[in-house]
Amino acid sequence: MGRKQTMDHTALLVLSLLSQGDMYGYQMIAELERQSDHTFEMKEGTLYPILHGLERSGAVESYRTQAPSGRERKYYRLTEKGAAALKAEAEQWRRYSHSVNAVLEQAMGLA
Amino acid sequence: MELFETFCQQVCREVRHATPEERDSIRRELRDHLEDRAEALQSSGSDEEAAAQAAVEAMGDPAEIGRAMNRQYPLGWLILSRLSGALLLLLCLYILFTLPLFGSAYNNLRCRISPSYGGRFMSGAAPESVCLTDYRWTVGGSVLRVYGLEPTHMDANGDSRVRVYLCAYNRNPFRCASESLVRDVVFLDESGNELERLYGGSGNTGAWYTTISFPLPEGENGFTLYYDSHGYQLEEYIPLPGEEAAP
Repeated sequence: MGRKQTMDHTALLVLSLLSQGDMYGYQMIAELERQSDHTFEMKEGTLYPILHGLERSGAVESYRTQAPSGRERKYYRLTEKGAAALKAEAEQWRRYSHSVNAVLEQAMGLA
Repeated sequence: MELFETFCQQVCREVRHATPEERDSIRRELRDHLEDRAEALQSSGSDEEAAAQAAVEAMGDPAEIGRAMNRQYPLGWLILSRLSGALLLLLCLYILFTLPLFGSAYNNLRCRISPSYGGRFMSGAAPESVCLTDYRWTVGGSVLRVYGLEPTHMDANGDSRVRVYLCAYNRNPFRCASESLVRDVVFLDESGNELERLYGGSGNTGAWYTTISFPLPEGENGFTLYYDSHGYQLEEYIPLPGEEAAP
């Protein structure tokens, strides 16, 4: 049996988004809604404690620059450490969801 | 927008472990987000007020966000940043107050090793008429040094005078030299009469420099350096360069 999922699911999603390119907070929320077809709808403010925690742990780093809108925004970038964490956690998540699916299918089959 | 400001303040009130700069950064980031969300809502048909209200509601409970944010800023980090700021300030003050001390220690050492550079010969090379000497006497905590003699220095009237180059430094490089040593020293002829002297001095707490010139009676080949001040006495015969010391 593998180790338990150590990272918050939202943190995992944030790292996945940042692996596609540097983004600022609102952009991540908008992108998450778009990519999940509005399945993930979170309280938007809860994103920021997660981002700041990831930054403190060294998984992401931030910088301020001009967004396409012309306004300055705080962008986040995935670090090498963050990329390695994403790889490990994504693998862990795949195993976990596979196990849950296996159990569910078994239960559905028996029902 | 006041609604946004209130929301940001409610969040930041809970982020007690962050520095003021970190709190400002959080406030700015949340405000940016609210503006972007409100703008998106307006472009899809909401009026300004309703869009602002909906943007704030979409954020969630400000106190809860603030508490979650506070957990990302460990108290130890805040204490460390405050402590390092205070230590840096103390270090700057310490350096500021000790710099003059090091400056005077430098002057003191230069006076011991190479007084020509600190004294009258700014280039370090004495004129040909000056004979470099090295007489030193300890007087209390300081040292009086005669580092040059000019037997025939011409004054403004064309009269020949003897010119003596003196300096004084403390035996401890970090303490002040006695200025009195170079200022109050007098010169006597062979009969013990005080010679009329012309004095020019300069210096600082690390080392004092002076040149003193006086007319020497004809036929005399030396003079007596005499000091009597602050409870210390010094009486030394100095022959002119090239002359033998008097018996």
